[in-house]
Amino acid sequence: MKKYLQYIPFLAIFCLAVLLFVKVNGQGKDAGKSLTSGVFGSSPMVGRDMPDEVINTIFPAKGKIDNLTYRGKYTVVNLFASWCAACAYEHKFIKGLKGNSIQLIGISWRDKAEDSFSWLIKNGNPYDVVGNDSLGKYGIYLGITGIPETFVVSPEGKIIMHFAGPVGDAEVAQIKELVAKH
Amino acid sequence: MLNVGQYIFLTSQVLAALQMLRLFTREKFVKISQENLTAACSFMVLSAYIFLTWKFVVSDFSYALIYKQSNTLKPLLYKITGLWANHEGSMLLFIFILSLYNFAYAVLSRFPRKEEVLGFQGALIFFLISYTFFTSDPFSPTQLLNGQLPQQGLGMNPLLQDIGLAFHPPILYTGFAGFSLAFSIAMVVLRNKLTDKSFAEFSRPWVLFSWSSLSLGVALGSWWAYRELGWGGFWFWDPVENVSLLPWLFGTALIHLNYTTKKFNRFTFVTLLFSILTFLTALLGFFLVRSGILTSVHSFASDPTRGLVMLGIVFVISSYAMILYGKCLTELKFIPEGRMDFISREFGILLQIVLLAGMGITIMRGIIYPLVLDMFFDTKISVGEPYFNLTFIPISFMFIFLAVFAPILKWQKERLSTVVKKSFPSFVVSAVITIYLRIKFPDNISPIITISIFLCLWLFLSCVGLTITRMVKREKISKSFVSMMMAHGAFGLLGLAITLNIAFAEDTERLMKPGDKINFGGYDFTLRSSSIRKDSNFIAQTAKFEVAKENSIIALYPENRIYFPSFTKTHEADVHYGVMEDIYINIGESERSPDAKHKKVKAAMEDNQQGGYNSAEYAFPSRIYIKPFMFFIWFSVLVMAFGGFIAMLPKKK
Repeated sequence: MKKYLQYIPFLAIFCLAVLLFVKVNGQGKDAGKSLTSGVFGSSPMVGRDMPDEVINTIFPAKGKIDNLTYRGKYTVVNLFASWCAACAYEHKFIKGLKGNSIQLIGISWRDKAEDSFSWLIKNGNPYDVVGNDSLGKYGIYLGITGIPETFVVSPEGKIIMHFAGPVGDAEVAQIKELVAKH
Repeated sequence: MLNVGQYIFLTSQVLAALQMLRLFTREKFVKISQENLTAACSFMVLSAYIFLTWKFVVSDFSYALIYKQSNTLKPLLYKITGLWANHEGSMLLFIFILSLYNFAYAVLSRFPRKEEVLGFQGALIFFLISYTFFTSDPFSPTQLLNGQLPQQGLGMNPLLQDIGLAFHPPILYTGFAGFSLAFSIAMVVLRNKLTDKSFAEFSRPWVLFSWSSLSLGVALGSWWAYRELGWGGFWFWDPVENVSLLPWLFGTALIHLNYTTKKFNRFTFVTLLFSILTFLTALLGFFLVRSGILTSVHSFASDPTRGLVMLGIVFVISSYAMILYGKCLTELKFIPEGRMDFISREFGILLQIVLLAGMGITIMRGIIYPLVLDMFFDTKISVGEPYFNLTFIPISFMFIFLAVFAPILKWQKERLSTVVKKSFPSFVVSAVITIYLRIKFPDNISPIITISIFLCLWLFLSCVGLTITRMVKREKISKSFVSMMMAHGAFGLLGLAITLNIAFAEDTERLMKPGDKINFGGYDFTLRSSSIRKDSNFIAQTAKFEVAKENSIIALYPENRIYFPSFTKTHEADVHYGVMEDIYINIGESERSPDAKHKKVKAAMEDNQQGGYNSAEYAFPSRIYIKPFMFFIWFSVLVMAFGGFIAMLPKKK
């Protein structure tokens, strides 16, 4: 009995190592997919579907955004507000995404519709559709931590990229490259 | 082509390899003693470390690490500490601290088999440098863009630009790295089949020093989280915190086991096991947070190859240790000296080890269980406070209960009546105080809080009482008695402070605009004004709060910051530290005040466009916390650590 007792400590370590190996190895497979500029590592939203929630639009008036809106084309969803200074900073980069066969959707987050509207008139409106999320509910479904945040959505309605914080030249180039590849 | 830093780094690796090879062959390769070889290796690591620090200070962006992590705008302190605010640099810091230990050990230790211990230490350095050099080289050059060096670095995570971070990693690593000596000594004992108890005496000071440093390091991390993360809490049962707690628990067990081995050669196998496990759990912690398995502010950019290589190294080290241990378990026999009664300090220690191991297993299960679920059942869960409240707290209650008797019990044998007699006065006093508190504050004190207050108070008062008794009776007060009283009493105080903090903490959240005044927790809080200030690497929106109670007024300045060049936003809480309670204010992103008139808002928004938020129309979601007894939490950890440092000092001759 004592003979095999001596291997027990090693076996315990071995089992733990196998478990951790499978875990670390599995991570490698998703590594190419998750791209984010967030400071806390990869975004858990990448790979998920866009929310089923339906929201009204500010522009065009009396429209709706639901998950059908995202079907069939690459979409960039950008959350902004008129009170957000960093959104004003990133606005010129967002404008750079216009065209490029990308559907550009803005979501006005926790802001009054009229304020967002006048902000867009003042700063220019690159968005094809602007949704109204004055209560911040849509933002909750998207798991955002603050604005600005930007999502890239595939024609199947899946989130394929997520940027927390303002986007710049590098991120815009990254998005264009991704869309051009497909 | 290698650069200067890489040359120095590789030289130290070669020296460490020579140190390690002496374990397996009689061939010396170079004609210098193991001690001098260790000193040379330590010197090279020191040079590599100083070299990189210097490059950080002068912001040499030809190094990728400095380009990614630093910035000329950063204050000097954070340029220096920026070295370890990332994966590569912190590995270098760990190797650096480990090599300092090796040097100190080579100079100070009188262990007869010192050379072999240094061989194992060399092996650890060798493996760690290999890992660092081949998967995360801190000296790798920047990829040039169009043949041009970048003019400015990308900057460091602003959350880490804090005085707490400046000292948390080095002190924590001082704790982790020091346990390597206990590990190596245990390896030498097992490899040579030494049945002599003397090794415990030689590893004791290093274990005590490491344990004290680790306590301080964990507390500093917690202090950083308290100040910087703005949640008003100090311990979140975050997986990374738990991982740092494992070596602490096992190290605590090791300290106590060292005494039983040193005195009576008793539980020596357990002592050896814990010598090994303490360091292995420290390595496991490294692996878990660096491989990205656990996500937190420590995970940096995760890269699966790094994780695999690190896992390989930890696996090689731990399986060598475990196979050796397993073999000795059947072949070796330690003969305890003297006899042990059930009512004795040794038996108390044994029970305490069981509880500490139980706590360790609880934490391990909290870490491993979600991984298993995710792997086999594709379910994601997060293990947090509710789990630990249910599992950890009952064990820690038993642990505190045992700790009460530790200083009372004598080695080998003690009469039950003496134990009862000595513990009774503090029992009565703490019971009376607890009942009084329960009646006075029935809303704050739930049954579980009552038990906790009672036990912690009992432990604390018992230690204070015993010390006073000895002083009054003019009995001899030895160094070991003082250190034990400090560590145990402070542990009671720590538990008490945490419990009371949980029971009496208050917080409120209000939308406040300049001029608003609220009364909360006996204080008047007035938001006086808000303004913008610019520092070297951030812009801050500062709110000025006046906190008034009776005749005294203090001002607090919580801030929202935007750091350059990354545009990362942080919320800086401002804390007024008091002995009895802290006042803690955090503000959120300013929003338009709800009752402002539309025109005024427009004017304010124009104002906003010009870079100023300084407008009475903006309101801040303000969170105010009153956190009692925070001071005692930090203070008691400090006392505990000093207890460890005192016990470490050599005996007077």
